[in-house]
Order: sequence, then C-alpha cells, then structure tokens
Amino acid sequence: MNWRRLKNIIWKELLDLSRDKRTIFAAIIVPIIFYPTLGGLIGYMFKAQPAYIAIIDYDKGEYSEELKNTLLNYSKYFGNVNIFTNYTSELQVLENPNIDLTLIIPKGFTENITKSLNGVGIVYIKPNVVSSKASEALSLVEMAINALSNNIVRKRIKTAIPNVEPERFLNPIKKVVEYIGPGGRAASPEERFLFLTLMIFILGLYFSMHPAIAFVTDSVAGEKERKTLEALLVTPASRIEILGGKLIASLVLSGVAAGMNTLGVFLMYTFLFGGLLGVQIPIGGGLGLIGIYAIDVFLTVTVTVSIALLLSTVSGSVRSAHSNATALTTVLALVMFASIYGDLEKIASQTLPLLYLIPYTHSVLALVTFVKYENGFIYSVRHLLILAIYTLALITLGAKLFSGERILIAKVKRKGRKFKLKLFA
Amino acid sequence: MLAVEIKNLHRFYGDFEALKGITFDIDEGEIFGLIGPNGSGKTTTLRIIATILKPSKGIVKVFGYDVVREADKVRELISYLPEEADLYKRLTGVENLLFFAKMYGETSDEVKEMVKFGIEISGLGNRVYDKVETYSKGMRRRLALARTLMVKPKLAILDEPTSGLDVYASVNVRNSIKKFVRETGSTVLLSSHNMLEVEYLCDRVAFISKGNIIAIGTPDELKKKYNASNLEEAFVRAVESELEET
Ligand SMILES: Nc1ncnc2c1ncn2[C@@H]1O[C@H](COP(=O)(O)OP(=O)(O)OP(=O)(O)O)[C@@H](O)[C@H]1O
Ligand SMILES: [Mg+2]
Repeated sequence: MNWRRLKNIIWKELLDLSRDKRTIFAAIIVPIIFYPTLGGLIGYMFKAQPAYIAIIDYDKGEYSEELKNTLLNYSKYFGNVNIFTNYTSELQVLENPNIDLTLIIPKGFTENITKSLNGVGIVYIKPNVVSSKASEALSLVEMAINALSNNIVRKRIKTAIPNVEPERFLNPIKKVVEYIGPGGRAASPEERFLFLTLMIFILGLYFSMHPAIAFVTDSVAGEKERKTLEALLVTPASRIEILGGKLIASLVLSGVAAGMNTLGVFLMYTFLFGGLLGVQIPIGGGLGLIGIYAIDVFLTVTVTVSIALLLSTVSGSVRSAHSNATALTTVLALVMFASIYGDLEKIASQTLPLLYLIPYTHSVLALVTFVKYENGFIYSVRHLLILAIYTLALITLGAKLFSGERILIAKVKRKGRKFKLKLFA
Repeated sequence: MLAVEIKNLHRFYGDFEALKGITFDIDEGEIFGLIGPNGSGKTTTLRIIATILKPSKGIVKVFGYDVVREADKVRELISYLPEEADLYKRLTGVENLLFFAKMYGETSDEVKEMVKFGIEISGLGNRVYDKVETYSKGMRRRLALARTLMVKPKLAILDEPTSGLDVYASVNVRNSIKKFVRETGSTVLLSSHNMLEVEYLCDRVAFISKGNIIAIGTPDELKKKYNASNLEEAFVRAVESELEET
C-alpha cells in the first residue's frame, strides 16, 4: 500500500464528487430537507384535517341531549373534531361527503331506557369507509356512549339497591398502568413513543443507503463505462489502492450523508410530534440512541457501499451495477421493513437464525437491542462490530475480483458460456 | 537490453483464438509499430504487454520482468494509451495530468516537472485549465497522449495514438512522439492502421494478421522484401501471400 497514491486517488474522487451536483444534492441536501418536511407534513395532515361527526337526533329526550353534550364536551379535548347537531335527516348528511361518521339517535331512545330497569336504547353509528378519520370519530363516539351508559347504570343501581355504592358495581377491578423501560424502571413519558422512534430511525437507515450506492457504482463501473479505467489500471497503483481510494472517498460522502440523515431524521421527529401533538418531545432513549443511530447509519452505509463496490467490479455498466446493487440491497433491507411489524430480534434468535446473515439485520438490531435491554449498549456495539466485519470481508473480496481481465472481458466470457450451454443442451 | 520480449504468445477469448503464437522482440530506444487490419489482435497484444490481460500461453517480458508474475514491476516502467481512452470529464486538463503524474512521481518537484512536460506535449495552451467536458475529441486524445508520455516511461505503449485526429493534429502528434523519443531515449510501441504514419515514425514494424505475425523488419526491409514502393503495398502483399499459404 502506497499512501501517496492512495491519497491521490481519494483526492481525485473527492474533487470529481465535489463537482457532481446531482450526487451532492441527493446525499446531503435531500435528507436535510426531505425528512423534516415529511414529518411536518404528516403532522400537519393529522392536525389540519378535522374529523366531522353528524348527529341526527329524532329522540329529543333527556338522554339524547346528554349524549350530545358529552360528545361536544369530549370533542374539546380531542383535538380537531367538528360536531354537527343541526342535521335533521340522513339524506341531508349524504349531501355532505366530508362527514366521517353519522350518529343516529332514533325516536324513543330516552323512553326505552327509562321505562324499566331492563330497557335498552339503540343508537346507529355509521362511519364512512372512505374516511381516514372515521376510526378517530368512532372512538370518540364510543367513549361518549360509554360515559352515558355508566351514568344510566349508576341511576339504575340507586333505584334497585339503594344502599350499595354504584361505583363498585361499575368498576369492581381497578387498573393501574405503569409503563416500564429496560430493567423494569419506570419509563418517562416520551419513552412511550420509543416504538415509533425506532420505526422512524429504521426508515432513516433505509433512505441513507441510496446516495452512496449511486456514488460508488458511478465511481467504479463509471470508470469502465467512461473509458478511464484501462489507463488507470496500468499505472503503478495497485488494485487495493484504487479500490481503497474509491472506498474511502465514498465513506467521506457516506459520513457526511449519515450526519445529514441523522440531523434530518431528528428534525423530522421533532416536526412530526410538533405537528401531531402540538408539543416538542425529546427523543425517547435520549442522546445515547441518537449517537448509536449516527454510528449505525454510517456503518449501514459502509456495508452498502461495499456491496455496491463488489457488484460494480463485476458489472458491465453503471446502469447495471446501479440496478443490481439497488435490487440486492433493497431485498436485503426488507428486514428493516419487517422489523416495523415484528420483533426482529425474537424472530432471528428463536425461529430464523438465517436472518443474522443479512448485514442489515444487525443495523436494525443495533438500535433495537439498545433500547430493549438494560445494558443494551453492549449488545448494540456487538451488532455494529459485525457490520464493520462484513464491510471488511466484502471489500477484500471486491479487491480480489477487481482484475483487468474480469473488468475488460467479463461480459463476453459470460455470453460465450451461455451460448455453449445452449449448443450442448 | 530488450524492452519487450514475446515468445509464442497465445490468447483465447472463450474458444476463439485471437493470438496464435506470436513471437517478437523490441529493442530499447526503438519506435516499434504493430500494424494489422481490424480484429487482427493488435489491442489484445498491447493489453497483454500492459499487464491488464493475461496470456493464455507463452512468455511476455518487459525489461526482463514477467508481465504476469511481476506485473507491479512492469507497471512502474510503462505507461499506456488505450485505444479508447477518455479522461475525467469533471476535472480540468491540468488536474487530469496532475492525477496521473502523482501516480508516478515520487517528489512534488518530479510531479511538477511531469505536468509541465504534459502541458507542453498536449499543445492545448490555456485550454488545459478548462474542464475536459468542454474539449473536442481531438483535444482529449492529445491530452491523453500527453498524460501517457509526460511521465517519461521506459516503455510507452500507444494503441492507435492518432485515431480521431485531423491531419494537422496527427502530424503534431507524430512530431511529439519523435521528439519525445529523441529527448528521453524511451522505447515506444504503437499500433496503427495508418501506413504513412508508421513509415514516418517507426524504426521497425511487425505486420499482424488474424493473430499471426506475418512479417517483421524496418520499413525499408519490408518494402524490399515485398518489392513494394511503399509500406501500404508491402502490407497488402504480405497479407495476400499469407492467404495463399493457408
Ligand atoms: N473481450 C473480447 N471477447 C471476445 N473476443 C474479443 C474480445 N476482444 C477482442 N476480441 C476478438 O479478438 C480479435 C482481436 O481483437 P483486437 O481488439 O486485439 O483487434 P485489433 O487488431 O486491435 O483491431 P482494431 O484495429 O479494430 O482495433 C478480434 O477478432 C476480436 O473480435
Ligand atoms: Mg485495437
């Protein structure tokens, strides 16, 4: 290894990169704009779009009044809900497609409830299937109905068994819920959002991979495509120096991109919750998690770069190198998406140990174990180390495959072999 | 000392035999021309000497070093202008030269000297400070040639150095090569289709056809041997007599 030549290659790559506006934009500018905007947008959509509930009261009795008032009361605490009480028929409601849920209180509702202790009142609840707010409206309506039911039960108990405390009938069991963190300690309020935090971080990991793939495929396969590689291969620079220089240059890019990505995801998180709940919530898990995330993004990008590097050395063109690398990494990255729906660690350790072979499993687990275990840091570092080892192995393999022979005639050879097979088949 | 020594060199691409056992030597300080029609095996031969393709059979040595086993040593002594070489487009001409100079030069003085020499050979004047993406094809070829020669290799391998150049630029390039050899005492191995060029430039010439060397000698010797008035005629007769034999 000759440092002078290695430095020279890094210098050339970075100079070239610094003039490549598209890659710089994708790697550095996009995350810092994209993630916060996405977070803000989701939050805004949640807040800005109100849920509309229409109530049609045919009953006009004591209890229908109470239900309406409870609902109106709740809606004040429930964010953005609008309740319409001025509709007089279902047909009228149909004219307004924005209504997410219609609550119909039929005639005789109050009377049915009050006429005997066994009396049952019926309400009709009609959520709109095409509405994204219907379930929110439904849970609000159900809460109001529960509150009314409880009131009625209290009254009935008082009438039937006057010397008993109605609360004991209603709630014979008292629930005490306390969120806990790793090791059983009480969780802070923001830690309840830990799951969501992890999801967002894992998504951030996924998006961090792509600019580096584009850079490294262009840097290796691009030299071949643009016919600059042949001359380079004949210089005294060794294969390791050439690939090493390119790798280090892409790591510089990856480092910057990872930093921007972390910052972007952090901002997105703030904006999402700022927009969603109207409050700024610090990230559950604290600075430690952000630190691990930053290292994790860097190593995830590094391992991705080495996969792309490997594929680029055997691909004929930038386009094929890029699409191969994107396809492969996307398939491997499915573990990231899977981890959103299940506990990847449980699945890997108990049913599918094969998953440990996928480098990105360790990207995910570095984050998951950090928050899951009391000394999560130790587990996390272990997964990060595995990522680093993967990278080294892939690069070594890449350097082995990076021979002039393979680069210059790989395609033809393969075609020839296929052709032969056909002849003999 | 022999600059290049080739013994019974074979090269297969799959089943196809592109070189069928060629043998020739190049003396130090010579300008040697490899001449043959399209697909005759010129580029294959040059790539093998330049260490980027491996011989299927046979021995190739550059200044005594084996191109397979001692490829690193060979690469220290040679520089190579590929047939379809291009430059880094987002870099300026000088930056391209600097990048290659730093691969060879040990000290910054050496590197500076190389770049200066490169700018001179390129004949691009102030345009060397522009990005290569703004150059014409001919300008790029000139810069690629300058990049190859500026490092003063003991052996320069040039695959069709004047391809894509206009008459005027070709003459310039030929003069550059000649001047380069006179000043540095380097050895040059070049391939070409252009007989005029070869006759003007080369001390010795090898005719290659379908992977065989069919004649070798100084331009005068070859003209005499085939009783021809110029090298082109000699070449055509050599190829024809080869066809008759087979
Ligand atoms: N990568 C390859 N795979 C298969 N065959 C090849 C490959 N490269 C060259 N050949 C074949 O080898 C023979 C010699 O090719 P080569 O490029 O050495 O010719 P050349 O003399 O340089 O021709 P030209 O004047 O067109 O540059 C040709 O028949 C060509 O088809
Ligand atoms: Mg050729």
